[in-house]
Amino acid sequence: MRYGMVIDIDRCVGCHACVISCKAEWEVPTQYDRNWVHRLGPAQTSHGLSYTYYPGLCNHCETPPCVPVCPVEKVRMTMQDAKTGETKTLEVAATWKDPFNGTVQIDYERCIGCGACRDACPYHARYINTELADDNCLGKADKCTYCMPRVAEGLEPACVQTCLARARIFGDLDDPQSEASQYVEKGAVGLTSPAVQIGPNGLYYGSKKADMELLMKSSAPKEMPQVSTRRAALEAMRLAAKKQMNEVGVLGLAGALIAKTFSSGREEGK
Amino acid sequence: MLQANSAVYTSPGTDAQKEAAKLADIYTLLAQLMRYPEDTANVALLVQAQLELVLALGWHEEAEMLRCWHAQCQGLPGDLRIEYTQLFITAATRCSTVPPYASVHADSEALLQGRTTERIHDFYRSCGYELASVAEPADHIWLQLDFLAALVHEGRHTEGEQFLASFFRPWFATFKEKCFQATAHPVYRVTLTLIDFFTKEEQ
Amino acid sequence: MAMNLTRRNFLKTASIAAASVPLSKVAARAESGVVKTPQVAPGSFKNTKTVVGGVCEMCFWRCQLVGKVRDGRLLKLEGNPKSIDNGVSLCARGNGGVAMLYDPDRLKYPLKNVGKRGEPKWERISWDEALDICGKKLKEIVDKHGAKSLAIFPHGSTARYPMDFFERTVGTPNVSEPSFFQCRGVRDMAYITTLEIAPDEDVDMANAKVIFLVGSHLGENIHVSHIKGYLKGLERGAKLVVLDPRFSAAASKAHIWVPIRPGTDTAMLLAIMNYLIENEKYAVDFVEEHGEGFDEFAEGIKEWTLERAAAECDVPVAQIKQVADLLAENMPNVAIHPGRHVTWYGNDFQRERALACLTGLLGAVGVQGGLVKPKGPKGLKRINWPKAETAGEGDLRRMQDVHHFHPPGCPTELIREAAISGDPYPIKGCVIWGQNMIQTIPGQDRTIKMLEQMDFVLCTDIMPTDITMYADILLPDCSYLEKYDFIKTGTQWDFSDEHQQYIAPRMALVEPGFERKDSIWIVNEIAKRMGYGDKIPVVSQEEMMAQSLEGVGLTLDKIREEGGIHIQPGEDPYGNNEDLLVYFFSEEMDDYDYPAIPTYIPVEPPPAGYMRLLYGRTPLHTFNRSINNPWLIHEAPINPVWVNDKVAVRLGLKHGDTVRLVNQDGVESRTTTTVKVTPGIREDAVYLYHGYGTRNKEMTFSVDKGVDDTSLITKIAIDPESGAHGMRNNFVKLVKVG
Repeated sequence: MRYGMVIDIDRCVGCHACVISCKAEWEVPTQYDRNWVHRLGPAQTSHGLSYTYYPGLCNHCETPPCVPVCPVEKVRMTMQDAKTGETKTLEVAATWKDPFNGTVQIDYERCIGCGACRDACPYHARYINTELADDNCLGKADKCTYCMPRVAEGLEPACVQTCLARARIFGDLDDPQSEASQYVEKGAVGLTSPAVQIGPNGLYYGSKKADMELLMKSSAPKEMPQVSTRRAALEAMRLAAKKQMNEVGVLGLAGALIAKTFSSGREEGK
Repeated sequence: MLQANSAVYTSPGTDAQKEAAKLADIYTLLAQLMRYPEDTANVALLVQAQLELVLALGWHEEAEMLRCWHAQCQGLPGDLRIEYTQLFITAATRCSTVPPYASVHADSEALLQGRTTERIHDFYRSCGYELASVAEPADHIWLQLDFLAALVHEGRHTEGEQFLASFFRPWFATFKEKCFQATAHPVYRVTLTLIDFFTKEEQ
Repeated sequence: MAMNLTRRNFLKTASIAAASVPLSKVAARAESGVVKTPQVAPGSFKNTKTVVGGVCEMCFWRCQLVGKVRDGRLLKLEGNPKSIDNGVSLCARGNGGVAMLYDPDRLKYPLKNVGKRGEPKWERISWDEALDICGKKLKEIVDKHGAKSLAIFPHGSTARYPMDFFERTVGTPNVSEPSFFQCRGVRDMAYITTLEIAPDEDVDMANAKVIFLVGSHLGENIHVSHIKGYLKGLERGAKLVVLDPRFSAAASKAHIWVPIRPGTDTAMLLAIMNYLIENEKYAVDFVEEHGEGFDEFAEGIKEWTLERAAAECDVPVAQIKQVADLLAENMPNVAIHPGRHVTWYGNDFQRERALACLTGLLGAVGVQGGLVKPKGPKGLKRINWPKAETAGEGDLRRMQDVHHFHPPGCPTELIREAAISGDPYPIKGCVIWGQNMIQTIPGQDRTIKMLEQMDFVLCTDIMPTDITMYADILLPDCSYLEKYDFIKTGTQWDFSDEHQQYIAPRMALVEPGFERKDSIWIVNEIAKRMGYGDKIPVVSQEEMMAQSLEGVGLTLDKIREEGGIHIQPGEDPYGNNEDLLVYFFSEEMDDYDYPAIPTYIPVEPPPAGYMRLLYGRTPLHTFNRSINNPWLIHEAPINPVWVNDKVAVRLGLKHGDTVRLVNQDGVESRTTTTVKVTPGIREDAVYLYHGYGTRNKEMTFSVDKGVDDTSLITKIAIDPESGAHGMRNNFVKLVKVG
């Protein structure tokens, strides 16, 4: 199973409802976005004028560059296929690609907020929510989860549900019968370029050449970002050391349990 | 305004408990000063108590500011009401109000009824307290101070300290700073200084 | 500051306190009384209650909502799954309702202005005091100068009850609604004059073969079920024709985009009709059966050859012909959209008449794809204030014998003029309910002048909008999520689906909080204090709903049980009455000396060096009403000015440059915006999203963001037939800043 999201830009009217519904659903702080709509044009293309939209979100890529750069110590984690109940145990850092549904997820408990994954994504799909910074982290990486907690309850992703144009088609790209796969047949493509070929599972369909040209030209990343894994590793070590120090201190100080969880400087993470 | 649904701690005993009760009184006074000054007689009492507290602390400068204001003030509670409205409710032509709700300063959304409001409300409940009225969000500063007063009065200092560390201090500093930028009014500047003094982390 | 004394020392030593709280003791009591709150939001579906019965009013389409509420806190709004209108969908604004509800800038308590009008200094006062002042002041004015000395500026469902009170029971004729005089009143009156049908936007786009839009930028203007119908039509293969000087969201989906010269639409419509008549490409039978004055009409528009229109409209002859032929080939299944905001040039009645005539000429009434009035539920009781015998005395329009085809109420300009001049009588009291007149009515300085001469100004709103700065008393209204005040009815949006009707009364999703009150309560309290206590029709908003629903045998509880919406079988909306008439020539108009056949009245071209100021909607805002919404303003923080790319080169402007706008009267925009350089707009016009440039500092998320287009509309045009404002007759140049 491989979840994917097709966006039909013929249908999209650029209303931004997807963005705002996501904000409400996941209480995403105003300045961050798990998804976005960029209004493109009106601009001239080789096929005439275009005025279209780039509704973007995490592409849950086939080879996600955000996963290997995570410096957090790996742990063994057992994952289960929601459908068959089959399990697999993997060694994962604080972010990984789910072997059963293909989504890329984050362990918010273990994330240290170093920002390596954010920097590694050519689509800028991740952000560090510094509001969640505490003594052990600089914040938490966050991004679109394809609304897996909603899907687990039998609901559609929030952005799909609210879309008045039915421009967002969410489904299993491994299932040739799914509407999403039908769109691939029709020519839905990912925002890729010669240098960026990481198998995005977010795909775009538009019947107008002008619109697709403008979308690809303006929104497909042209190069892979360079990430300093050394810096991320150092950050991980620094935070680990700090955590040890704090634990020593905590023994004598009542009330610190909460204090270390919620208080202490949003500034620290900025 | 906060109602306890657990029994109030009333053991008569130690000095510490009596002293706690007095600290609770101070929090109550500060809570009252952060409410809208509606009742004239009550307001007169509050500002008098504020002055006495400042004198007892030996804060001569603040005491002088308050005395000056007491001398010049033309009619309570009108003066305070206008100031309170400008500072905390709606001030069209001044440099904007400073809403006295934690979520507006602690959450980046800067909305009322934010996640911080929900957490603070949950904390009240986990300590056995509920809001007596739903008209104001749970994180209005006067409700928080009232809650602190209640905890301290019961001798629940651990929870009090937890509350201060987790919920109160993280936003209060920003709030106070914004208020100081927005007002020169001695009653509110001194109240905020007092709140700071009685809530900041002990060294 | 004498802060050398620590708290511990103080508590130890000071006489009033006593010893410190012993920290050792604190540390010893280390058990935690607190459950760790999860840091990650659990999602709106976890541990929440779904509250039904919401009816949106982020705009006035009024989609049906459910709220996800946890512990009294509204987390999310969703389309009501029971809805046959918007379904589970909402637009961005609908989704953003949560941030409106919890906007810290919202009005919370009654306020009295103890400063100057326009430069207020607020004091929070009790409701009693506020209502006493309102009752006393308004009564004094009525007693001294008569009911007509009150001017009422209402907007939205919250304002209906107060409007009715002042108009019917107190009896002032000086009531002006922006939805009529600054938006769609012209359209409705022109269609009623032509087809005897108030069109709303009831074109059956879902089943049309051609969708014809004149300036309607669907997609930027979002009304959920309307857009669903539009997209369904396109999906089913409808051809889309868009007349717009700008390559709008709709133009980008169009098969034919006509970048028409602003102000000339009527000329093109007349040429299309003339061409269709000359070539007998119109619905001959339909016109024969239903047409009135067709020959005079055909004769009268003869001068409008394709060539003449092409020159006037700056559109190739071939393109006008292409549009006309496309309409003819697909008639009668063509959706000639009547538009919504149509107060453009002060000649708009004639354009709307032309659209209605084109609809008739193509026989596009009551047929698939045409102008089709849905058959919604009937029988809801309308509760109203009793009408006083003296109601309506002093009608300025009637006294001046003008604007004979006006929508309900009094043309705004007549009220403003009378108030400023005191002629023919003084207007000394003003009640503003839910309307930000600073941004709805052009000529801001005149609005301010009018308010400055008032003896009393009452504003009721949910936000401290710009106009609230002019209030003496400012009252905090409940928002649409906190009250019961409107019953939305309708049908399924696609007439090819099973015919159904719905009744969706607005129910509160959350408690109002603070001291906000609903308008029924407020008005009743004012009415009592003005001496109209015995005239009060209902005691509460719930009673109002109950009485209305009684007419259809429903109750709020029953509808709540049904999921917030009552659904019942509907009726086929297609077909026409035999007595349907299309007044191609209107004798009624002739009687009043207006052009009796649709007539093109040219507008002034831009002076050298200036471009016409066009404005419109962003999908993220409903004019200025939603501008302070933190989520929405974050998505669209300013309103960049669209400038043609060739013009930009000539003016030395680059994309992203900061500019100030200056109009033909030398009025400068108070704030600045950035330039959006695009080939998607004509060279003779610039374009802005409306609603930006808020001045009230209390609107902290939106103040000074972007430019207020209304501030630049200083040259005022009035549509003679309707008395509505025309707002696209101003011109600007761009001045680079910094």
